[in-house]
Amino acid sequence: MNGPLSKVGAVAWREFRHTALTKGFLFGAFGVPLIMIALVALLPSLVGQELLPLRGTVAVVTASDRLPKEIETELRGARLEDRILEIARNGRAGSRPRSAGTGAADPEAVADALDRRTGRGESDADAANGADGGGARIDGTEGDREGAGGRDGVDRAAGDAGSEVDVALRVVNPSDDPTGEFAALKELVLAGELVALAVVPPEVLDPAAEADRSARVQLFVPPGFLPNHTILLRGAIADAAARTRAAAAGVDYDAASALVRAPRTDLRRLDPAGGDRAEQLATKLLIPAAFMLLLWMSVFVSANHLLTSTIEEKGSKVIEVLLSAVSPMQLMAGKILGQGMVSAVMLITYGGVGMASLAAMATLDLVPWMHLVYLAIYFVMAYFMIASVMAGVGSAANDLHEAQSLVAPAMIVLMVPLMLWFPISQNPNGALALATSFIPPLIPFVMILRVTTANEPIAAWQILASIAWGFAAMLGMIWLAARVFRIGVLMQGKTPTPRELVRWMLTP
Amino acid sequence: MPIASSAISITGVTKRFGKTIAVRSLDFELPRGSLCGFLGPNGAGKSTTIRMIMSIILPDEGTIRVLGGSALDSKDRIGYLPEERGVYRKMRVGEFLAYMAKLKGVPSRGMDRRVEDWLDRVELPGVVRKRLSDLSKGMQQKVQFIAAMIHDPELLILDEPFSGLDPVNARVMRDLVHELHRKGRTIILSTHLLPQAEALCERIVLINHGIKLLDDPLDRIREAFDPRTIVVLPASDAPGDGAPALLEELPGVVGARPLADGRIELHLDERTDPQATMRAALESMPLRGVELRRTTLEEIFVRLVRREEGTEAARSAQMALAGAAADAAVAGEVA
Repeated sequence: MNGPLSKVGAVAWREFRHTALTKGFLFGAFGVPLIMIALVALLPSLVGQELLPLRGTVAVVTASDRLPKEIETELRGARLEDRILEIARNGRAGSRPRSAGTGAADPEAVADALDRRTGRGESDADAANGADGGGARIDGTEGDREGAGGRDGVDRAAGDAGSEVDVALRVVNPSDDPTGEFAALKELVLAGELVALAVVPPEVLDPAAEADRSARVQLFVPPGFLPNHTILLRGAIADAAARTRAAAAGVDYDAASALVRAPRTDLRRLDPAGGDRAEQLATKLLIPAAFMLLLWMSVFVSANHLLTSTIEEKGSKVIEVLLSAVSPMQLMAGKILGQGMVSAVMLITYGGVGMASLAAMATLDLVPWMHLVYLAIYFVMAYFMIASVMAGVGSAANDLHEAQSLVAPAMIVLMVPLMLWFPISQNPNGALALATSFIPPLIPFVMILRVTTANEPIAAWQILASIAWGFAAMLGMIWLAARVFRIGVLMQGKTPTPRELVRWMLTP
Repeated sequence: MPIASSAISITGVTKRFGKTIAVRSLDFELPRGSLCGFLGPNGAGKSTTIRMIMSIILPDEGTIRVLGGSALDSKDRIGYLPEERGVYRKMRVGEFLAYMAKLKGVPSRGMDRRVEDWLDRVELPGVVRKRLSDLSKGMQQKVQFIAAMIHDPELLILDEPFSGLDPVNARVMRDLVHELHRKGRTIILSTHLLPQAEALCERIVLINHGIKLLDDPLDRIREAFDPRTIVVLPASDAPGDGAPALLEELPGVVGARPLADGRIELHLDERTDPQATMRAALESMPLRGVELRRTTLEEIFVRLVRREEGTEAARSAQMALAGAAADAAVAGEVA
């Protein structure tokens, strides 16, 4: 028995086999995402390795006696550990100091650690004597300053020679260089004898002068100085300056910080059935976007394959051989179904990875099973809509360049859901969302955004109407594409004009 | 009225592409089991007609019946080798042939054996696992030939099947066509190689500008286009320079023309029996050879196409004159 369905099936299988079961596709569809996942997993460890030890002497030009001590405190003990943890939390570094355990930094752990630290409000003395994550010492003192090229002083604060940060301070009086250029110190920085040079003008430490924020600390680092080290030094000096200023104003810095710290909000979502649960706002915003992107990507990748394979068949003249065996409608149906299987494989694979990730994070409840049903329904609608456009364009075009020109208007329309993601997610029952829910071919993309945005339920009639209207529009698009396809595949030569395409659609 | 045993029955078929009429009121019947040459100059409407027979495109007017039914329903019983043929270059030979066979309704069981048998028949053993892009153009053409025949069709339509083939491979393909014809298959052969059509076909359909000019068995065509010319080769002891004059006096001979190779061409009048004139020539002088000259298909083709071109030009001129007259009438009314 070789009925029409059997022929459609044969075309579909060939299309699927020669798209999905090729090395290029398998690598692109699965290999690249796997590599990306692996990179994301390994990145913190890899980046963590870059937090190279910072050892050496930093010259600090200041007239203050207190500032060097504050810097010293900032660069040792618990304060230093906090600083490194904060850098890690900001994604600029990924490892904790060796004394605190090496390896990838867990952002939650980092946040907890910071909370613990700030919560217990360690005193300077505590910090100085706390868990040693590195150290700083002052080599030059006010009493024995000898100028820009002054000698090393006495180590006043014991540092851990084995720690990652072991910085000595050389304190230099500004009056030692009346030019204010400190050229000799800069030469030492360039020569590698100094790690950095910090010039702290007195205005920075003057509570009254700092009010206009015009005074700045100048930090000179050598070429090739690691960004993490810059952040570390800049933060330590800035915080030390703030503490010095607070002390000058007679304010307890830690107490003041505790006073101005904004409280955290524990967001709870009330359950109509009673009780409440933690609200994960960011995840909830991202899930609709993830659904729409999943739909968009899986549909467009295979619809593009459909476009190129149709053009290739036409260009290589194999189309006429095929049409001697199958009707244009059977050929188009087979091609669309075959690429549809490719699309479904991608949807299931990527969707499955997403669901597995949610399950791993114990947040599977964020995706009710009904959302998956909607995804399946809107996937079918989206795929056939886009595939029919691509098949029609592929049959009418002689090459990829022509196809790009023909498909450009449709692509512009199809970018709309991507641009409307945020406003629709924010207000899924707004006028914009409602209007775009009934414009083919936007329907499936907009609707999947709306139905998966959980903050407001969508009226059932809207969902049902969008499905009914969407499938009717889908059938209409397939019908029009078939009218273009049967004529377009046999046409060679000039690109058809939009008017000609319309005429093909209307030709019985 | 279509003949019941017709493989193809085309009645009043017209096909237009915009303002261009590719095929005009075409009628012809192709008996089952015949081997027909479908000839015509470039742009005559051959490929359009073949595409309509294959139901790749549909006629605007008229009907086409293929193998007793609608063309669409008969696709699996037809083998088609289009002029502009292509392959999936990345596919393997065996896979491509199996795919084409499957589309034509060949069951999967025994497919590998069938593919290998066909490859052996066209002298392409050992290529079943090769990619089509790795084959030469001639080898690809053989694969395309198999793709048209692998489902053992009742009707085979071959559009320029020998173009691009070297003489050895062309002979292999020609033998295959003969073999299929002997097995009772109906074959339509569209070709520009008229000597090949003449050697292979038993029937000729000639079209130009979408109009049928000729549709008859080859023998009848030759008869109809008999040049009424006899060629004689005088023996060495024949009269020499006087031979043409002597032969010109034979009954029914209206002219004798010496050829460069020593032969003499005798032109006969309409009523004369060529056989009687040949006997009379043999009796008139010693001859080494005498033959009735056959009209080649090429001569018939050229003659008919030129005549039709003149008719077409006249028709165009008539239409132009009619158009001008109408314009003049309108202009007169306006004035």
